[in-house]
Amino acid sequence: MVSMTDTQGSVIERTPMMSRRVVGFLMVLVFGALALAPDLVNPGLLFLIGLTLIQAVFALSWNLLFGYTGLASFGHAGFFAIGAYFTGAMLRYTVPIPFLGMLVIAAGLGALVACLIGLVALRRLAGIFLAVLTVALTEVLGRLISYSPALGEHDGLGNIPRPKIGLVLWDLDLTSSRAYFLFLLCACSLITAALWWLVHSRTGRVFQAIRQDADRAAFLGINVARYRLLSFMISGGVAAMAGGLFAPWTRIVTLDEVNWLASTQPILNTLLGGVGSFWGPVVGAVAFTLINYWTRTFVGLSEIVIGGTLVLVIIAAPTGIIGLLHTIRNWVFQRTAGKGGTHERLP
Amino acid sequence: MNVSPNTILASEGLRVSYGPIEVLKGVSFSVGNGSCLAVIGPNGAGKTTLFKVLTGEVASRAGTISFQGADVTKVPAHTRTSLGMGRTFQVSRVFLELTARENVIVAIESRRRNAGDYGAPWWRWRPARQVVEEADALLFALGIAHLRHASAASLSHGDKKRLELAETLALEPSILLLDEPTAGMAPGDRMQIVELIQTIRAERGVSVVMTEHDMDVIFNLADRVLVMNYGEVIAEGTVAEVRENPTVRAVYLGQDIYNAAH
Ligand SMILES: Nc1ncnc2c1ncn2[C@@H]1O[C@H](COP(=O)(O)OP(=O)(O)OP(=O)(O)O)[C@@H](O)[C@H]1O
Ligand SMILES: [Mg+2]
Repeated sequence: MVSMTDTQGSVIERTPMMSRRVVGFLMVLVFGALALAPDLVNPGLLFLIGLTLIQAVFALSWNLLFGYTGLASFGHAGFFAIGAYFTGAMLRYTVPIPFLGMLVIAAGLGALVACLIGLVALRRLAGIFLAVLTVALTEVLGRLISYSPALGEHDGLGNIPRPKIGLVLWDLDLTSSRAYFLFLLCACSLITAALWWLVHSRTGRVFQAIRQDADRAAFLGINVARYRLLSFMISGGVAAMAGGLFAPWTRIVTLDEVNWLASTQPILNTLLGGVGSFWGPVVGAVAFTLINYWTRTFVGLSEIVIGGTLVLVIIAAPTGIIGLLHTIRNWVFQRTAGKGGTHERLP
Repeated sequence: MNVSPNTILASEGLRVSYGPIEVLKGVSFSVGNGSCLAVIGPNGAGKTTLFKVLTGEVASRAGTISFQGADVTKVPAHTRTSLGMGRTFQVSRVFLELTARENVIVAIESRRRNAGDYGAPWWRWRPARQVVEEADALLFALGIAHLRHASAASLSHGDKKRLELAETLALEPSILLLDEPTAGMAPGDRMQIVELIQTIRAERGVSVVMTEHDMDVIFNLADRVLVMNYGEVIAEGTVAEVRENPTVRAVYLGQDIYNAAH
């Protein structure tokens, strides 16, 4: 075959929101600001920021399944709870496993449960089975926990101590809020980076192909069932790891983490931020916290504002906040490019 | 099933039903290695259904399929693909949200995965350089190199068909199953596709099974023709033989099939 000549012509280039360099710079900036947060903000706010980090990772795990592989889990809190109750109980009953080991085991448990559910649900390649079975998982877990005295039944598993991490040369004491927050920040950043790598890798390309047209993917020689299962296992594992990070931060895990409302949180965060974008769930989690924080003094207002925002986002910008920013940017760009005289309006 | 060594793909007694309706009523045929078989017949004859069974999208109720001497009747679709069956669809199917280049890259990486060689270490998230070059070469060969950064959704009908063919060729199949490769194309574009298929056959020795309503395309490409009607094979032979066949003439209402299909 003949070699390529570069002909761009009138091709529409896909323009990312920001160049990679700008995104990278922003990341460093945000990371730096968050690293300083323990010294800058009050403990209450720091607690909220920590929860947001965890919710962001949780939402990213859900969107790996939904936005990238095209499968919906309506009971993702089940996986989160597996991790939260596991590390919570291990720390509470001082089981001599290093904390990092606990997190890895938590992720492994989440992936294992996902594997079992997936083997049943995904054999038929029908997404609805998965949705139903994940909801069932959450219900069953909630029931089991409510009958387990060791897991605190309806009162929750409290008094969870924060861990110490034994490194080779010195011990990392995560007992203080400050220390654990910094650990949380690093852990969440690493998980996010790993997910970013995954969705941009050849495996991520397979996930995207499956979401867009699973049959076509099969006729490219892709084992669709296997990749769906893989995506589900990674998603469940990451959700469980988010739960594992959650328990020592709040120091109590209750049944509130194991119900359908908890399962809607990553879904809402993702829809709010934008399904089609990697960073959507993170943006959504931050937006959610901000709305909650600004409306905290008015009872019931946060629900109204969040509900209203969601309706608005879904009607006006189905692609979420990131999609909205995209539209605005394109609009501004066209204006400044000299096409402004046509009185274009935002769609 | 007794299959001659020169046969690449063969079926015997294939039966397919959608609910109570039997769409394939015992279809047997074979394709010689390196040859081109055209499957023709009126709308609803079961041509697309035959493709679906051969590639594993639809299971047959009875009958066997052999590919390269092995029985693949129970083999799943993705495995048949990695064994060397490449397929395009009557209504082209590409990954709409990926760019044209990414579409082909997914196909090349799939082929390499099944062959156990990515050409790049596992941690590299970008496609390997030779993968991108191969994708661009395929897009160029199909005449859509200038569209490589365009999203597949923005391509015209004909360009989508070309992209789909590029993806399928990226699998380096030993047999191509093309369901109406030129449907909905302008006459000039049709001949371009015909030439392309001829080139592919000449260069790679690929066998071809195709359905087509355009007789010019068939006369130019097919070594043999299989005529189907109501889920049955009513004739098989060279183009000339089939044209003279009285049963075929009856199906095409007594007209010459060349005119009837237009
Ligand atoms: N999924 C389905 N469910 C029920 N009936 C179907 C289905 N797909 C096809 N059929 C029926 O099976 C018969 C054969 O259809 P098929 O698509 O194989 O025909 P074809 O020869 O490819 O026709 P065309 O030339 O129009 O593409 C038709 O009568 C069609 O209505
Ligand atoms: Mg058809």
